[in-house]
Amino acid sequence: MSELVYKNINKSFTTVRGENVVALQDINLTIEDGSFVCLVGKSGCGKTTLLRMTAGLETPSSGSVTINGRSISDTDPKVGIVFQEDRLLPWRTILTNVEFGLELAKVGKAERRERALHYLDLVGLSNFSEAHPHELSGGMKQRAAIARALANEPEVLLMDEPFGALDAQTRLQMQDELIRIYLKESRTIVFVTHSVDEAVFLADKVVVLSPSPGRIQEVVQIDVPRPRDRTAPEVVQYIRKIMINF
Amino acid sequence: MNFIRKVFLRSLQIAVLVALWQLVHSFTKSVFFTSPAEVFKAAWQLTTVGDMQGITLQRNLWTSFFRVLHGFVWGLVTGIPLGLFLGLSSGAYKWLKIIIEPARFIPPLAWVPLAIIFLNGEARYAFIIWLGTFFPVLITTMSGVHSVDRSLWEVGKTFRGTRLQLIWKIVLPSSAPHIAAGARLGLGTGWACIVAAEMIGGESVGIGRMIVNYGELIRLDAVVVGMIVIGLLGYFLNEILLGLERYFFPWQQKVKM
Repeated sequence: MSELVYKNINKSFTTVRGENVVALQDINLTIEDGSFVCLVGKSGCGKTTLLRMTAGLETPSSGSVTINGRSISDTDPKVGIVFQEDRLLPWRTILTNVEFGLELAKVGKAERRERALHYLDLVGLSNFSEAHPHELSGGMKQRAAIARALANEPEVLLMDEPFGALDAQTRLQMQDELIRIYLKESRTIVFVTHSVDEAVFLADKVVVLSPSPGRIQEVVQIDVPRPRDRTAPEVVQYIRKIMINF
Repeated sequence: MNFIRKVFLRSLQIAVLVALWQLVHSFTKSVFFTSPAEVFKAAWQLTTVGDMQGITLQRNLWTSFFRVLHGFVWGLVTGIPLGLFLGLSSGAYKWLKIIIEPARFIPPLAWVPLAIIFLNGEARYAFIIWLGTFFPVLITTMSGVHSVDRSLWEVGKTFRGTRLQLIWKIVLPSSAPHIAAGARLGLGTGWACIVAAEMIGGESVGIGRMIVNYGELIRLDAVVVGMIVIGLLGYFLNEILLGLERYFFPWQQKVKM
């Protein structure tokens, strides 16, 4: 069980010039256990800030984020994150990169290896376990980053525009694979994107944020069974519905 | 094939250089301006018979090489840990900055009189070369620690790594290429200090000593031999270290311009 509850979240920054900027205002949101939620919005709407708060990398100015009723104040072993960039350690092989989190958690060598290989297989990188990141394509590196986050078996997986830097074709392929992994692993996923198409294709629930100050504009439940067809009329309808107010 | 081409090209470059040297020599009236032929003769003399004390060029070079190595190793042993410590602890750096920053601008040559008074034997040489090596290694190690990618540190944090774990598994490996480059620079400056170190006297062996001895006699042919030999050995050592860097840090791709 891992339910995420955001309660009256406000976040403001002071810029270098001393101006006060409100990044997030009155965010109230509940993300149910095992659901796939997408946060969409233009750049500057605070979606990444919200995600980083969930990861314990930032704290709200007021309000609280709780996981199963427990407030998140620091990074949490139950919460894994995939960043926009792959952030792999360049001196490690793909396999030892995937083992990295397990190593920090002091998981034994044999189990570490076994779990890393399992998740490498899941993301389709079994044949590249001994390669170094610089030998791989962008899509493969991002898959390795996903495997690294999954290997620690977090209950909540946060993803910050993980496919943003990929070409259109690889991006679609990665979306398909993510859904496959989601259906197999059934973890809670919070996925940040600026693409409405991507959000509607992936999510159970799309949370639309509006910028300056960042607040929740609407929450749309996507009632289309998976696997979804990107061009199916009901999918297109949802996209249109969200786009109108976007 | 590629190798043969490279050797051919290098030989050609050297031949052009020697030809130019010979040309300038034949237009110069000075008796001190030595010719390539005289330098070759001196080199032959120095390797087969030895210098005025009967010490061969090889022995002079080896002796100096081990002195450099001695000071260089000390430079690494002291510079890397201190650089890591000061890189990680900005508080300690603030305290030591007023000593370290001015000290690194004092040329090793300026330390020679102090070294003569306070040290003796091999320690004198090692100290001067250590000075040349220590500061480049210290500074590059510190900047290596500072250049650690914040985003990688964050990855470690999301996996709840302890500070010690993150230093060991993120900071150290990512500053290793900087440290290696610093060591290479340090070896270069260490070599460059050998003449200064051997000016101290005492021992009669050493390539720097040999240069000083022949310099006093205005035997420039032998001086030039010493210079070339120092240059070449430094070049080969640098190439070896560069090769090691490429081997150990293949992810550090250099930008080609």
